Amino acid sequence: MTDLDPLNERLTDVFRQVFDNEELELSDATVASDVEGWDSLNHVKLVVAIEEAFGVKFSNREIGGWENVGDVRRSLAKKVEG
Amino acid sequence: MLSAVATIDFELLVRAMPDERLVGVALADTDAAERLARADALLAGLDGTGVEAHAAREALVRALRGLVRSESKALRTWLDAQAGASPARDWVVGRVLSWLADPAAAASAWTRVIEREFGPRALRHLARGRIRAEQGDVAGACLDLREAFREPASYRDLERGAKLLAKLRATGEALPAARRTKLALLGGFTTQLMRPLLELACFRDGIDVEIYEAEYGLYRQEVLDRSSGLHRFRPDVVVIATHWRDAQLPPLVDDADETVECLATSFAALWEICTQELHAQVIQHNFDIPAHESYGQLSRALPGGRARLLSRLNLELLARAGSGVSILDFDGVASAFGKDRWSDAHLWYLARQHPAPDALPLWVDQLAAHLRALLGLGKKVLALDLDNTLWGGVIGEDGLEGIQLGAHSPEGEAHQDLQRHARELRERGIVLVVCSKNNEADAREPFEAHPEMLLRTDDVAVFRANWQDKATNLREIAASLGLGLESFVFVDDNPTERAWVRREIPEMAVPEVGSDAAAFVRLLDRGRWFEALSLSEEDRLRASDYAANVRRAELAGAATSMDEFLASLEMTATIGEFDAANLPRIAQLVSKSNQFNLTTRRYTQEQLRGFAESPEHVTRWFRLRDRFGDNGIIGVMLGVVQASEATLEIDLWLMSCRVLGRRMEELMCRTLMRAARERGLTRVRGRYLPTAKNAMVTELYPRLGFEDAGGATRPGETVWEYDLGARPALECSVIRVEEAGEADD
Repeated sequence: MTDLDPLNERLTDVFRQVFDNEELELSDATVASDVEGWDSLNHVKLVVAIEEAFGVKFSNREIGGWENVGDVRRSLAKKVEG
Repeated sequence: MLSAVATIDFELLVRAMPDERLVGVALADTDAAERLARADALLAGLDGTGVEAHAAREALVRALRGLVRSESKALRTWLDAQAGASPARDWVVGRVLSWLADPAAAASAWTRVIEREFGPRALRHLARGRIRAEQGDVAGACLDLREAFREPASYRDLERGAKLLAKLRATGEALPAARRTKLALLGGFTTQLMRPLLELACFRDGIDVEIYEAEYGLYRQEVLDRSSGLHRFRPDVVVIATHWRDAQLPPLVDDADETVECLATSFAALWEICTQELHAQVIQHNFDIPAHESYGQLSRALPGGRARLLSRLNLELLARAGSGVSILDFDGVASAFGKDRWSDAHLWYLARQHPAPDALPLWVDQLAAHLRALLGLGKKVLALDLDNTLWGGVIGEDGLEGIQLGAHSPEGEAHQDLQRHARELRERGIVLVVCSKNNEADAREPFEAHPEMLLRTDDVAVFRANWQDKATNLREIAASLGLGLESFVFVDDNPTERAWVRREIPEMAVPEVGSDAAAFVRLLDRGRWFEALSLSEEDRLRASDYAANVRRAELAGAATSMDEFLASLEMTATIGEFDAANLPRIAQLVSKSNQFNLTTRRYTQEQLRGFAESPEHVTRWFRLRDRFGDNGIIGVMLGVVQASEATLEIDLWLMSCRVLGRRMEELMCRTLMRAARERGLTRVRGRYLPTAKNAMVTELYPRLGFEDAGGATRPGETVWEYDLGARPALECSVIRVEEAGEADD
């Protein structure tokens, strides 16, 4: 992944907006407990924001399988690149 | 690799294809110098496209972010060269500078963007608002936040706005608001995504709202359990937001009548507790009828079908609503949004979210319109431009035969439909005024002589056609009507005029109606400016009333003395105690009157009903008619008996500004004094509580002969007393008095 992988940059941007934290940095291993404010309400907001930003829809099975940011990124990559 | 792509002309490429992926690829894997050079070429290309290309510009911003840490000096030099060069470049400068900790430079970049009205309105104002908030400029940030959401916005933008609002509220500083209210939000589904949007819509509309949000699905328990959070909260407004699942109907029932009856009764029981025990207004949502039914069209065709029952239930709710309860047309919002997209099934299963997030803005706007109506913040005046608004073409150039109006052309038909919409608004009490840049004689000609005109000169309360700027004209129109500029909606096809009025008179609603006549009505109606919860006789009378006022003013010019003029009006007042028939109008006046209002206490209809039944309260309404027409109920007074001091204290005294200068205030005061005497009281006490709008009555009590009694507890407050034994009774000979019901006098 380059420093400007467009998908990753935009995904990070969405996270920054949802959690209202411009300094937020993510890796594939980042989990909810690493990010301040990642509660169930913000989880829903995150789903809505990612769907809106990339024009995709996730199934509840996909969302249920998200353990870390890497899972989110791979789910998304499958939809926008696949 | 680099050398191979270095020859690509990015400026040309992005001009042909202003796409965010292209920008992303162009800037990937480059060193700082190359990236900045390419960004410059891309911006030159974007400047040349003539479209805003928002997504492509944002992709460029994201790519520059990578340089913030490692190459901040080179980045800063580059940004300084971009600043002021074009609105698109200022946009990039503003975005990137927020990471470089130079708020002053970022704010001025955004100010340039805002002045050029470039890019999405919500985002440019939010960007500057955030900077202002961080700098501690709460007032400035509030202005930007209001400006950001003048027009309908997407869920995503509203959510961003809600975050800024939360920050502003957290400062603890008082935010600008015309009304305060405590609102309980009881949802049959999750309201967590919607709540911040509602707070934002209230802020936009000048309502300082405190919200109690119940856990979803517990609305019955909250109302029925007297020790619930709802009962402790003591709300002014209870919003019951239910949807079709809350009716718990099977697809088909045997006894349709009984089912509808039972359901309606169960909701009416909740309303009764809210209105009678909590003294709150209820906003009940009706049931959104689902788009997908297993019985398909049978769901409506069969008497016991679910869709049919829900329709009947919705009508039954309306029939039972009455005083203190209004029904929000949730099904109507769903239809307007589009029922196929109204529900988002996976968010329902995931989080009990309903409706889909994209539908939330429309719902929240409808709810905010209800609240505005409830709190007396509805608009009263529709100000209309003429050329290319009420008709197609320019009357001064095209002449009577040349303008487009009526069924002979598609364009003319669209303009005529705007006239029809305006005329219907006038019939329900909205005041119409004309504000046009024209020679007056030219402007009036179609009203008098064009066969397809639906609006006539008589429909227009104030007709202003001249060559002054429109903001000045609108101010003068407002002054002649005695109405505030915040009660106006201005419709003009010309974007420059709209921008000018919006800039000069920020409190006026100036919807972006565009310049295509076919869209005028839809874009005007979308703001829900004129939403009302009831239609009183006074509302219907109001529009002709304002027109009559202008004729009264002409008569005033002819009379030589004030008393002579007032006598010539042949005024008759009717006075009565608060009664069921007049309570809605009384409540409307109590919630709306700002200027002639001594204490500006806002009581709900239920509270006012309580005063009417209480022996400690003296209640009076006043109606005034004259030879030009009936003004309807124009004044309200409420006195509280303080037996230990043998005093009647005036708790509420307000009057419509339409009847200023008619000696009506003398008559009102005399009426209350007589009531005090009849109860054996010896003194009347009045209080003036200053607000931003009621300066006109500062001197009312001393003017009527009251004496300063001291004892004020708030800054600006004054307290006045009138000794009924020692001082003469007030007189008011120019108004004849008629009795109504049990009222004295």
